[in-house]
Amino acid sequence: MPRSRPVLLVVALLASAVLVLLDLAGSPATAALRTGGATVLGPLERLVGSARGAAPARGSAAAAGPQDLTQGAAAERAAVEQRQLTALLGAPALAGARVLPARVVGVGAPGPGGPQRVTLDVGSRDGASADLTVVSAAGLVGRVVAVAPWTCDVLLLGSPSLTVAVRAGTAGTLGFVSGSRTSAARRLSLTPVEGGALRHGDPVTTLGSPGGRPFQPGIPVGTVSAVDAQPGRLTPAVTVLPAADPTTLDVVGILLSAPRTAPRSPAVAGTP
Amino acid sequence: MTGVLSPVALVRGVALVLAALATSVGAALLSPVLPDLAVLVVVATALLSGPRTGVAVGLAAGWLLDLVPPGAVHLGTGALLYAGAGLLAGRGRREGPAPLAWLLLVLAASAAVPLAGPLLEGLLGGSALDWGGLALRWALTVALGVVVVPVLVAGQRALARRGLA
Repeated sequence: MPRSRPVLLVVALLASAVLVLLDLAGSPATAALRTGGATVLGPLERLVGSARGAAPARGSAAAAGPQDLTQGAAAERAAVEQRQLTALLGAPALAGARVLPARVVGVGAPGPGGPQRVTLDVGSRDGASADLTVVSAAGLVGRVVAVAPWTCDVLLLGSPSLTVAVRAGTAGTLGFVSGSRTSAARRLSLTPVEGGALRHGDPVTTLGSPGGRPFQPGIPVGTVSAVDAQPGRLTPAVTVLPAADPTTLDVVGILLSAPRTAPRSPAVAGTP
Repeated sequence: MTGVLSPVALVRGVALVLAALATSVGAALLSPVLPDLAVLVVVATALLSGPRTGVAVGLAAGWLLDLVPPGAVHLGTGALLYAGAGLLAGRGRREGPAPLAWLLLVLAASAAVPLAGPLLEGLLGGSALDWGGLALRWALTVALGVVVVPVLVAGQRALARRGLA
């Protein structure tokens, strides 16, 4: 590398600082830069990420040769993925939905509470587009925020940049879930829009967005793990244990349509 | 140093691309908490060539990490942070043999700079911080750096001695 000229370095540093500000402001220029990077580097990442193999079982490792180990690992890996895919497609909350299966092939730099973004091995060529809901067999994972031809990026639930409208408890208390502000990492904070009788163990599901973007309704978000009724506050501080663990994601699905697809019949008021 | 595409520059570039890819893919395959490979390349280069080259390589490493999918949440933050790590490591460069404790201190300080991003984001945004995960990542980076950085420095020196820098 040549001895860098100070002026060029200063210009590069200033350009980086300007790009940070542009990205914070949501400029389309930085989105194009991301797409360009994903278009060039995404296929490489997808190739490396797809070439993985599961660790062979301990008992079989001693007896098998190197080729057997590779084949065994690939077969075991395929079986694990098949089980995860079966669980995903069989999840009750997703019944009737069109699901695009995908695999996590990249994880971004850690944020304050852990990973904030992941890369999936499907892109616009596969039908993925921005603002679609991403789920695992356990529940909500996040939303698609950037799409390239071969890959797409997902902003994970729990990231400070992501807020989800939810229903909580048997009464369907409305609220917002975001990354935890008061408790331990890998927990979520639920802010009810008004006082509600929430209890430990209450389920929390997505409220849904207009047109199903970015969130489809009825997807499990997690369960209430703590309710702290603080004096002087209108609503309690509620902590939610997320249904899907972002640190162990593997096979996930992008929802291309709402879980409920059957048309709803109109009813006549006044008749039981 | 003869040109932009000198063998040493190519080796550094390839090492940075591999480090960026390994960081992203490795976190998906193995564990979300892995050592920061890119900062080790930056520190090794800065210790050998000084702060200016350290900043330049840091910028390149940061931009690669920002652009390798899924990239940074805020584009450009990685570039600035790794440039800071390169500057710090370059400032720690000593002519002639340096004490091991000094090199360890420079490595530990430089490896902490990229973690300032999530720390600041958490503190300023009021988010909960995964102190354990961040501390483990830093400790793993320093532990690996004790082995890898001298190898990278020696490799670059060997190339330079052969007139390939």
